Amino acid sequence: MIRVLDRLESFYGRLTARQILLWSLVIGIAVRVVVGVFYTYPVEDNYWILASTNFTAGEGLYGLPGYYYLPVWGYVMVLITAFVNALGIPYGTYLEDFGGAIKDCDVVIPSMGYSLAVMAALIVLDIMVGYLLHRVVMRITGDEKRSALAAAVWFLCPLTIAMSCIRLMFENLEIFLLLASILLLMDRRPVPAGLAMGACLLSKQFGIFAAILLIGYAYAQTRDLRYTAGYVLGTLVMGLVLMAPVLITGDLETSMHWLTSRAESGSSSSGFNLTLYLVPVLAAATLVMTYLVAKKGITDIPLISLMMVLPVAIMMMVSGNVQYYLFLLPFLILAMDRFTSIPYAMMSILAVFSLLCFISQCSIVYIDSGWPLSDLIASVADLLSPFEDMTGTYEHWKAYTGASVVLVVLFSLYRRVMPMRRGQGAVSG
Amino acid sequence: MRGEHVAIAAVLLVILAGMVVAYAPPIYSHGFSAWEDEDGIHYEYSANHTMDTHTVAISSSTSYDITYLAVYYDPDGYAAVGGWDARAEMLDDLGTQLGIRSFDGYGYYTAAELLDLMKTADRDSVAILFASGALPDLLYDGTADCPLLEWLGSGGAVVNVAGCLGKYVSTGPGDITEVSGYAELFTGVEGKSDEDFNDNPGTLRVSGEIDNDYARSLGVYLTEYSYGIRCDGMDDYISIGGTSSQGYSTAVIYRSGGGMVMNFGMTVEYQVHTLHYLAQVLAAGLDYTSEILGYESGSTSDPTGLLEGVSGDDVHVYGYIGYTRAVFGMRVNLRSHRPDTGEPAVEHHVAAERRDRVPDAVEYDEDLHDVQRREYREQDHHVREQQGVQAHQLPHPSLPHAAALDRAAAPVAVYGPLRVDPVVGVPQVHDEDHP
Repeated sequence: MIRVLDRLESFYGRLTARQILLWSLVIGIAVRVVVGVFYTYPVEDNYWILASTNFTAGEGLYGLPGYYYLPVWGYVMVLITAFVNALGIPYGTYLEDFGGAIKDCDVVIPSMGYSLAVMAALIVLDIMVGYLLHRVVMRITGDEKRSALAAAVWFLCPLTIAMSCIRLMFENLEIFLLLASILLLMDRRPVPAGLAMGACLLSKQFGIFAAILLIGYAYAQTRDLRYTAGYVLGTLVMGLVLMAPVLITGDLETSMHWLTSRAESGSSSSGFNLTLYLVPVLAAATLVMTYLVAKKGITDIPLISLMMVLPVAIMMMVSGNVQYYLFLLPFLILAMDRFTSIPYAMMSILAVFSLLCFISQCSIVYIDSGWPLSDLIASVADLLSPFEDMTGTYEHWKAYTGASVVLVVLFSLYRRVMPMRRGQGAVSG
Repeated sequence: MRGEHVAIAAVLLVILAGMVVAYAPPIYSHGFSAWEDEDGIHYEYSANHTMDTHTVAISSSTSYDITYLAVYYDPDGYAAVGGWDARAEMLDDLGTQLGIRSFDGYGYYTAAELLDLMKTADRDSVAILFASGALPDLLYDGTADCPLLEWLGSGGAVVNVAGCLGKYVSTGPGDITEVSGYAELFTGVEGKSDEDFNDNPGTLRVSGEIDNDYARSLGVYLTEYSYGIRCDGMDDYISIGGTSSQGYSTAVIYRSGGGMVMNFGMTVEYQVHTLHYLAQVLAAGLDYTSEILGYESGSTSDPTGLLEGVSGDDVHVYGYIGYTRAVFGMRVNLRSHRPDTGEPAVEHHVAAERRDRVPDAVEYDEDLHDVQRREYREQDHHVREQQGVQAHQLPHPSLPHAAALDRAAAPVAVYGPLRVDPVVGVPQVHDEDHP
């Protein structure tokens, strides 16, 4: 990662930290808008439209099938829907040529306005994640320029751009809440940190390993059980508050659909079955790491970030969807180890791969849809048609990326832990 | 407080605000009314947000005005092809989709309860829905003199979803047998081959565009013909979906003896992608003679409109808000209710509390309301909660529908005047000669 930062640093030359932030913001938003406007991947967007429709029809989040995730993103979607409805933005139009269903979703061509509304929320979250990364690195290093570069590396990463503006996936919400929890703990605010973690765990579940590790971190900070209990209590309180309506309405099972459906599909897919077996092993390993963090008094956030990444990366190596990899990215950045630039590069290539595949497969739905420059989109899609057959390569690349993360994290952990065992202190990059 | 803390607090507050909005009383309200005069059919939408509207004028020459679906659901007594679990979820979602479209007459029945119901229920306004794949032997045994065929013969309506109608008979839990000759029985076409009723447990879809007035105006694109039927030799039917290269129609409404069958060839597996179509067709009040007389799209921001030049003896208007997945729909009967008076037709408005299953969510104009209110009943319906099907607080669909009233006044009244049975809770006929 340091190598990437160094190169970016030299690329930016004599730019100040403020200039780096400003230019990253401008370039990042411009790329997002241009790419997103032309190539919004319609599958997830369709499901958000479905969720918006159900909500507008008075059926809440789970009254009808359509929203399959834990409630936190749904709560955000409710507000996005309210915004869209207030402005009278149409959700989309139905593409009847496909006859009702394709790729297991309705073919509703998302309207430009609807997609941009969702995209805008996700771009804001991207920016806020960058902001929190900046603040966390600032606390670790005290270096303004390095902090700015960390934010820039996140915001300009192709994977970040692809997930928020092509796939319209909300991984960045989970990341924001996890970073918020870390930052608040660093600021010795255990209860608010717990509140953020409670929300994080109810967006997607990858934060569970981090949540456990942060218990060890909280204890290592103060050796005070009440302080640690404050963090745990905050997590439980926020979890209960956010889940209470779901529990009251009896929608718990529906809200867990995202997880359970993948577990069920694992019976025919060796990948996820393996993950199911891995989860208890990884949970046990995380508990051991948590114990070590607490016992040894480890408060080195880069080291703890590597520990957070490890179990999730192992899971992804066998079953990762491309959007899940985004979860690893900020913690690789926080680890500030030059070797983590390898998986960073692989993730960027993965993002480009996924873009090419998505565009070649799905850009057809934009043709004749009234989106601007649909002819241009069609011709680009034609150019990319060879990538339609690259799904296999793409799947392999996903596994390689996961493996690279695991290997690099293991190596980086070794480099950091060994000097500590010899009493030399941790390696800092 | 530092800037980052403010940012974190802001995001958490947004999430909490979203939670409150999601679970507070519905913030959106929708309504639709229609009436006619010498200029044509006027309509008006009411909504507190802007969204597309679609208004469809439909004519029918039968007396069907289906307002109640009696859904066969009997996991304790009989088997369903492929099991009941997925069907329970499907039926529950169908009830919700119908509710969105102001079709609140929906209840679950065992075979025995259906048998009782069929003896007295009003043929014009009550339809029996089968989504089980197999029919219970209490109602159907593959012969023409079974209760189900008698129901059809006496003018009753059947809706068949996700199964080959008549092919499978369940004799008990876990027991399903196969019969033959069902295509001839249900269509009334002599010598009709059972092969004309498709029975494919996989998912078959027609390719290409579905191009007919029903699909375009109602936004329904029923493409699955896994249980579609071939209409060869049938006289009175409409095909509202597509047709496969083998000739199977994905969705057909046809006359069956004296009754009507609505056959949807969809599978259970893709229900999330098709149930809204099914609900749209049922709520729109199509029958086998229906024609689309007029269609207009618009917006709730310009809520009024006029359908000119719409003629016919029996016209109703179906309005919906949204796109093919409507956020609201409502049917308003016009000439079928008051064919000769020339008075303004009934106006309807559905209040926002429909989501909370408030039974009296439908408000009528004051002239009729006093009369109708006396007949209005409500009951907790027998629903099998233990099977994962949510209990519905069903409104009592006791309003005398126009077709029945018309018939009562007509010289030939087949089943006599309508009355309300407070026990069963569905529109009933009272006639000693009833079969």
